Amino acid sequence: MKFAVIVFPGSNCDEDMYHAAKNVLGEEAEMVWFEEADLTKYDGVLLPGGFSYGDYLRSGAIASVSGVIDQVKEAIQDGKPVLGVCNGFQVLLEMGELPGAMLRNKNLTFMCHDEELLVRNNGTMFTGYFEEKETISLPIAHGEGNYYCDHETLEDLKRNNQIVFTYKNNPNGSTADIAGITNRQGNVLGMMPHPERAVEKLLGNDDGLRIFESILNYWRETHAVGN
Amino acid sequence: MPLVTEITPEKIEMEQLYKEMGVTDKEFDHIKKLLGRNPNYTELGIFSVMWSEHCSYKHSKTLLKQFPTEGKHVLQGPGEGAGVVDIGDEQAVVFKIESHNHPSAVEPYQGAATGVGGILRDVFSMGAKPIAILNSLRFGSLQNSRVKYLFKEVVHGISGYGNCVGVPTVGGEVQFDDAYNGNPLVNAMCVGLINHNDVQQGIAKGVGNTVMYAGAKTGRDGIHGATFASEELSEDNESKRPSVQVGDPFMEKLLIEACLDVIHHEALVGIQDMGAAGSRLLRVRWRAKPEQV
Repeated sequence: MKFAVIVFPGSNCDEDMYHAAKNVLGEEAEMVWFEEADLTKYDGVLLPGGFSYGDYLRSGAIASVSGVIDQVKEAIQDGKPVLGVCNGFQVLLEMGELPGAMLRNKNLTFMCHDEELLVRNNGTMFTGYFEEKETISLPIAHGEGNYYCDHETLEDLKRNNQIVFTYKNNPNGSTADIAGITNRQGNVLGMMPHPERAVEKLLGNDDGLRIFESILNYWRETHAVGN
Repeated sequence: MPLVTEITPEKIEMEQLYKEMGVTDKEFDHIKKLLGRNPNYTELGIFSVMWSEHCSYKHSKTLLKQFPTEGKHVLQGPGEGAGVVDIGDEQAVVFKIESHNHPSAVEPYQGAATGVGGILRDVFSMGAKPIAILNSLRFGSLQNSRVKYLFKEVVHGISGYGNCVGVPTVGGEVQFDDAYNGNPLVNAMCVGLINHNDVQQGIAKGVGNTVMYAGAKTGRDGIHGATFASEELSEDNESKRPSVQVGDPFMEKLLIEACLDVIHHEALVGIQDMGAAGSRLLRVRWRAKPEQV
């Protein structure tokens, strides 16, 4: 499987994402400068965290109208797995590929620590290796991770099983404790916690690796020889 | 008639305008002795930044000199932007710690944030990739509402800048004592990783080479920031807030990537960080290393 890690000016978790996919998962991965991207070559797209364009205007807003975005939309339409973490999640929200918006954290400060999450939907291509209702731990690092959506959207998310991860102890004020959601088709996951920072036991936590393994497993099953 | 009238050397002396730049009477006399005449406005500006505490460590030098600076593993001691220590496997760590006390005392968020920004630049302009930020902080009593505000905003500034620029703040230490009520100490440290043959120096040589000067937009912020560091803090702190530069971590992130790219380019002769005092100081810094010019 071949991953593209999209690098915007200001992305700063791109190397971690690349490391997780390439060195830990052991699949092919390339860091792709957003202007030079040809995403048709790749099987999955990873939108890393950071401060694309300095998060000026709004988090992810400028990146969401940059040149590469048409290709990201194509990849989504083709059903390829697209994972947006932190700033990548914010970009997906600004693109309109995921519903809702981000607000400043409830306490108005940047937060950086591990947070316990509940797996709400293990039927997605991103969460096949988790148990339903399993508690996992992933690092969070954000100042604007307070997910907001209106009542109607929330009901929609629930009805379609789009809420994938929720916080056990909501740290930032997110609506319905939401930490990660998919699109309706289930091939786009946006999440604030950083799975790419938790892929090695040696560094204390590898709960995040199972997201990458789940993607790979799904891809293998759907691209098996003879399929 | 000239369109702009520069303040004359006579007026500078008569109205003691040098004091506004943080130059003392004694220092002004010494400048006159060195030049054999009165300095003009531009010259005085250069002296004021070069002799500032920020640039020359005039108050703290005697103490700083007590630190050991030589050893088997020391690849670069004092004299460049940061120290370089061998860690084996053809790799080295580059690190430096620097205070940003005055700016943080008057404008805590930006003061602390640009303290982190400045120390990062010292490390990546050596060619090293910054991998960690640390800090050492001293504050007064948290019962004091001003101290509480300073504490909160300094922490906010450090974490915000590090998060945006993508270098983790991995540790630090803090102590509280009434002695620091009016004057907090904010020290930022950066550690970078480098391969031995990538170590760069702030040198300039050759004739006709292009000088590229990159950085954030200039504004009305940060003017006289270096000279401000020499002064005693007073109750007039509020009026000094514009002396503190407003940080632009996004631009610095781009600068990190650009610098780490350019060090592998053979066209590069030398690279130098320009902190407070900016371009005026750059030329002096390079000229001050004659053996390399």
